[in-house]
Amino acid sequence: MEFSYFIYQLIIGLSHSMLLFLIASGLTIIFGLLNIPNFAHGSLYMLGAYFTYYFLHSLPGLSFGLALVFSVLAVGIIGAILEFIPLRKIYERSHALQLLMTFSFILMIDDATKYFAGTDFLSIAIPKLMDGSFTLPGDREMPVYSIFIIACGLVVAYLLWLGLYKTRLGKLVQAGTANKEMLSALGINVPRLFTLVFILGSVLAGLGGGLAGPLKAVSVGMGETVIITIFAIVIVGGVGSLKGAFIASILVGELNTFGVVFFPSFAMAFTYILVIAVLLTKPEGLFRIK
Amino acid sequence: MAKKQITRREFVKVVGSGALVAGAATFGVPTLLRAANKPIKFGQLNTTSGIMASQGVPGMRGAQIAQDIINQAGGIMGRKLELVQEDDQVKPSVGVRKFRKLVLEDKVDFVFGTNSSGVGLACVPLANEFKKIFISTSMSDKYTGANCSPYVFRIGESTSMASKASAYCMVANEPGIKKWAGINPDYVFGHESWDFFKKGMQEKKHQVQIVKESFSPFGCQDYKPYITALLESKAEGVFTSLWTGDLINFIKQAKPFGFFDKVKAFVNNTTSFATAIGLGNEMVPFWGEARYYPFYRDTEINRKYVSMYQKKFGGYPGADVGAECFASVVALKLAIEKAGTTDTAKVIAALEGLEFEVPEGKKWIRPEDHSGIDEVVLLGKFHHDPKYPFWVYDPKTYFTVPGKEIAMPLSQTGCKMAKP
Repeated sequence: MEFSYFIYQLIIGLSHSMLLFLIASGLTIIFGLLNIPNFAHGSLYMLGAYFTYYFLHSLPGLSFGLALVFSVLAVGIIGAILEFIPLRKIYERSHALQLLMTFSFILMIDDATKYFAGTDFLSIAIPKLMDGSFTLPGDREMPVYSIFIIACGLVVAYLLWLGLYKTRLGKLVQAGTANKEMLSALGINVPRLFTLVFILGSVLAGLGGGLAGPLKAVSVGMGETVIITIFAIVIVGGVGSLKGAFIASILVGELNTFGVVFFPSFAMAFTYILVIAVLLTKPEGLFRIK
Repeated sequence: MAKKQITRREFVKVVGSGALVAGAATFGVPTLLRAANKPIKFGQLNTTSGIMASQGVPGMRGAQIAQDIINQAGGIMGRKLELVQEDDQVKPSVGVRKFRKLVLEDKVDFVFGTNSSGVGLACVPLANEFKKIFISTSMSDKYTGANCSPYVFRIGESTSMASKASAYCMVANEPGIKKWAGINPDYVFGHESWDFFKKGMQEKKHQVQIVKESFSPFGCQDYKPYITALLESKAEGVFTSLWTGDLINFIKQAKPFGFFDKVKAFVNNTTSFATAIGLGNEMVPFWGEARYYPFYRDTEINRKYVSMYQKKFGGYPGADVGAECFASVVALKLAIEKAGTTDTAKVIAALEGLEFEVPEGKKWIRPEDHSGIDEVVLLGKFHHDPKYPFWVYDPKTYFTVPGKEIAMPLSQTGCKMAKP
């Protein structure tokens, strides 16, 4: 295989990885601190795409960037409502019950979306500025939008790292992920911290959805198509670990890309072989927060 | 000698065929009126949740329009038509459960529908077990193949018809293209489509070189590796049986790679028009096929279907499954009237050989294998037309193959129809 083709596919894979990371980072922070396996995370991702479409079409002339910001805020508000009203009541209950509740969120959000937006596919165009490609050696095209997604992923990863390791709030989140009881014993307002983190996680899912919008048919159910992969990433990376989610997203995105290109018949298996391998050798994931 | 007993089925039959007087004498008028007014129930399975909801919801709507037309005109033999619609979630296990529910709890007289052959084929054993007529609106040739059943019908075009017509169209319109590749969904429909496309090329004695065969998972989110691998193969023509959501994702992701400039012909064998509506102005000029295309025929029934759809739901009836569900309801209605009863065996006999007109044209149900055969299979190349908010076929490019010509010959279906 040509080396330049290898590099080309590496970058293509990375653009998928970074989209996965945006969504997975939100889920892993929520799962880590709140200890809730939020199956509705995919629905928040879907809402990100729907809101972006809605703002672009109801406010003509709005730039894609601003539509994305509004959309992310809207998803954040919905996240806040979900956390504040129902979820908060079941933190101490079993995972089975939590799973059931977040699963019911999926159905509710899907039905509400169908009610307000209908079931037709909606399409968000790639913003004009990024609608093109560079030609690379070997007459291969690299879409500008793919590079933009990689850039977004890296910037968000950096900001999250700053927030988590360099701010008081971030340190509280880390401490809470490791030991919740200690946090409240120290007089920290834990419920408020939980709400903030749930909003942050929702915002990240919404951002992923908004950015994925131009690459997908915006439709009810698009959340369910990603959620399993996202959970796989969170498990492989280690629940609650941002670094883990980052590395695992890259592994899953690249395994999928190289699998499809070089071993097409087995491409789908690679992600799950990775999950099984990690579960067998490091059941807590690659970077579990102790 | 055993005394002749009247079973409930016979009772309904008697009442249905209009022998009211005899019934009235035996059972008394009030009971009788209730039975005569009892609606005829059609059970429907389509996908109204999840990623394929955009295909199933129009299926439900198509059937509702047929129901409205029929009930406004006095129902079926004076009885109202009642639809019982269920979401199969595009999952075979759910489809099977809902089929049971329709038969056992809702006590429907007939069942029709499904968007995916994966679901529809899973329902075939139940149709046989319950001895209920099941009309499929999904496309597999298997409904009418070696495992064909007296209870099972496929209302319209099959995978083989749509895929072979796509090949014929390419041979006629793009004879210079020799290097072909395929990107198809990795389940029965995708594999069959690709095989029949290649077979269609062979039948026309068109020599081609297959440079890449790829199969992507249903609901695939990232098509970029498939796209780059197809481009790397230097294919000049690409055939696909990805449908709607998947096809939209593929096209949106392929466009930035200059895919539609580098590949000379891109042809799709299913749901093309719904894809065009979904993509709006982001559409690309590819060759498409759809079981129903609203602008091809200017017939009264087609105009009525489109205008009722617009009035009741807004927009265009883009999803071809909607027209197939409409056709299923119409076929059952006509067959019941022809048989003069809802008795399964008699309605089967009436469906066999039935000819009728629906929005997509005239249909004929081939008696030997229960395959619905359309007047023509239609393809066209999409172009921008300022009259519509989405792309439509360029009428200059219409390509048709008569259904009877492209239908699988009976000698090849492997179907040996049993008696009901």
